[in-house]
Amino acid sequence: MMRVLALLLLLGTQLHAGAAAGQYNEANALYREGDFAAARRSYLAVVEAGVQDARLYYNLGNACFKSGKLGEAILWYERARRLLPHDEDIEANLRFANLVKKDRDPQTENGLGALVAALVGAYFWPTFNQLSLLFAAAFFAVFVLGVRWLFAQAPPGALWLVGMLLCAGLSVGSALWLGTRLHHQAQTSEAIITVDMAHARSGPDLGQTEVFVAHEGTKVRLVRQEGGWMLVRLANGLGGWMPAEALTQI
Amino acid sequence: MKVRLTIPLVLWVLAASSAVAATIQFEASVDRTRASQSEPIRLTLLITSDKQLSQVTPAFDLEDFHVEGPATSTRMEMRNTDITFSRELTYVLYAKKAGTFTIGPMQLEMDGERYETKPITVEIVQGASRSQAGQGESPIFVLARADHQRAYVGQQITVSYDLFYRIQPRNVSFNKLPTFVGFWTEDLFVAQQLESHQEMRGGVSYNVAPLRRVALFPTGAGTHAVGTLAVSCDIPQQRSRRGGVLDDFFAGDPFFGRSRSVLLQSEELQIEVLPLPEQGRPEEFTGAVGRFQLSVEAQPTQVAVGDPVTLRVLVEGEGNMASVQPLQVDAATGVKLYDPKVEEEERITNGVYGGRRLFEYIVIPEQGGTLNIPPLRFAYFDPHQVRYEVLESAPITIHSEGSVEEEGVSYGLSRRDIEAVGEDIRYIKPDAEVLGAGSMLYNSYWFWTLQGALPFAFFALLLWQRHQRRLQGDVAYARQRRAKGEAGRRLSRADDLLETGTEAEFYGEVRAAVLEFVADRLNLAAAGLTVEVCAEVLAARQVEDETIAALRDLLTRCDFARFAPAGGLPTDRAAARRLAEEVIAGLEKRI
Repeated sequence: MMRVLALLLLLGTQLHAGAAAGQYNEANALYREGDFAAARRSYLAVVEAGVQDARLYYNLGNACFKSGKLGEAILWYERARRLLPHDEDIEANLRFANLVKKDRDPQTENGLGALVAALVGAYFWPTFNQLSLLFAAAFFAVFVLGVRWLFAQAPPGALWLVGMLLCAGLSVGSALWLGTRLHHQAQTSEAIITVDMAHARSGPDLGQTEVFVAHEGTKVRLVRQEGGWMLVRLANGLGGWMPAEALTQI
Repeated sequence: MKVRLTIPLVLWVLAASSAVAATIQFEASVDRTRASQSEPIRLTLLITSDKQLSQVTPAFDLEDFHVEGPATSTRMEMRNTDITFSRELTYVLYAKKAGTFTIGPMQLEMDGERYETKPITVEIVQGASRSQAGQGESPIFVLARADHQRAYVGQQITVSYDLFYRIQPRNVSFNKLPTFVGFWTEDLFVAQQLESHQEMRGGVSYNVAPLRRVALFPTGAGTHAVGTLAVSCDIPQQRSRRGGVLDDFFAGDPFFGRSRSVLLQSEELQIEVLPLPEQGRPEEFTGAVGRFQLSVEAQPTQVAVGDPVTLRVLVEGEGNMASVQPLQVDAATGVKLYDPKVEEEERITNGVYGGRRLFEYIVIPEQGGTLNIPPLRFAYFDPHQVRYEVLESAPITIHSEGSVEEEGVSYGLSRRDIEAVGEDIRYIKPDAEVLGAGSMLYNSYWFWTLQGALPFAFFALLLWQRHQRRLQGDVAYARQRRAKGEAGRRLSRADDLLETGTEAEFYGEVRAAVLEFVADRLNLAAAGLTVEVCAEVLAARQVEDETIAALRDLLTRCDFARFAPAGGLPTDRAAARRLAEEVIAGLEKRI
């Protein structure tokens, strides 16, 4: 009974994935014909069906860009990048879209030395999947070395000990790395402004003083929510309350 | 000394005596009327009035002098009840050349009235200062020298400006840079600091520091003036004749010796520029003057029809490269020729300006066969030989094969760097058969299940390994662990004998199964195990009495059947078989 259920479930997801791919390909065809608005709607339908795919997000970003929805385009490129970091196309289009938007990205002076900056860069460089695979490989190596110890005729030598220590260190290290990265991602929620112009105020109320105006496509960090208002912070430290409907979380 | 002092004094007295009559007075005075070219003349204009003076600047024309200033000072003076306002403007003049010049009259317009000063005549002597006149050449001067006094249009003339000095100047700076009207100029050298060498002039040794060297190319015939260059510097003050040993000692010292500032300027040079001779002027001549070489190369010379051939024409040498124009290429019929791409390089070799110009023509044969491009000719005027020269390349032959496939083929012929002309986003990703790329491993149950399975697998392997070790090393443990299996095997053999075997065989197997089970479990020798011993041992192990009774019953039955085979019923065998199983199961719980 369980087997049949599992088989059905598997078949169901396969069918579902196949249907989604079909709809994605149709949307691609619409894009090729130049009907970007229809392509966008089609891609969005696939997304709403619960499919997570970097290609889908990237193509949707393109369709949004071509339909003049710059904020949405940047949003989908950002989402695609989260799924597939270091992809050249995604990076290029995100860079281009950011050049086109109205607000110039604030230059952050982090004041870090070159070495620290390089270390921070290296910390954020590997993708989640690469870290997961690194952990899995190191953990499996620990397992293999453990089994080798179990069935060894003679007590294991220094080479085994070094290998064991290395692999154990690597698996613990990669697990920590992955964990802290995931924690960091969970802590920093970001959003893109998807309306033409968003007015930030000093408090969550229309009566509060306006502190700055940001335009479509600008990325902000979400700090907290209160009612229909979001406290956001820009890369240069400027902060203010924006109506939640002006923003879409990445 | 007296002359210098009396003139302003006289002017001042004259001005003061007439001040009563007129409301406004306008006077000019100089501190000296005779000076050398390098000595400054101080010109003072004094305006005196009994009313407040507005900001007025007198008009004058002093084209024979370099003018610095004015320095202005105003004064108010009260004498009895009269108030006098005065304004003094002081200019510093340096004569541009030697001779006698008239300063003024200066003019001033105030309240609709015109005022004029009296003209002042000054005498400027050559080079040396008045006090040094007659003592030979000045100890410091700027000399302009040209390598040619006569030259042809387009010929290089090198003009050097050098500072000659026997006394150390300080704070040397360019005051006026020369202008060159009628020349195309190219700077060869401009001094950043003084670097001098020794040179004899008029029997006197001088330090000579080059200030500027410039290559001039006359653009038209006639007599052209080469502008003067002026530098200002501080030189040690002339020591007084009454001065003692100390004066001599400190004369050249910047800390102790007094210095004065002077303006040194070169004399104007006149260059006679000759027109290029009309006679013998070749057709190809486009204005190049100097000395040049020509080299022409075509590559490749063996091509398919429609493929481009690069014709490289290089003109290099000495002279004004700007006048080297692209050469005329007479394309044969059946050849398409494109405008050349020009590469320029300038260089200065031993003070002679020159360089190279490379013209790259693209030639495309439009039909097959041998195509001849006639020799290229380049003409220039050699001013040293005073004649025109014509350089001629070898004829160029290109072999082309085949025919052009279609009309109007366009080629990317003007070679240049590829430039981005528009920007857009990159195109969409291709179609996919399955979606889900880029999903996260850390979100997958499978991934974590696999990771979690590893410790369990390890623990299981650990237990199994322990078990194996014990089986090998501990006989009692091994027998105990194997007891049930062995008994099972014997029972199943008994099952086989149930139908086919003899009575003795069947019961022997059942008896062995039970007895060996007990022996294995308790690590005893099966051989000496009788029913009584068995019951005794089992009783000591707190085995239930029923089980022991059943065992005793079974073993008795077996012995009976083995030794008195009376052909018992198969049901008895089956019952014995069942009983054996029950006994083993009962024993298993206790031993």
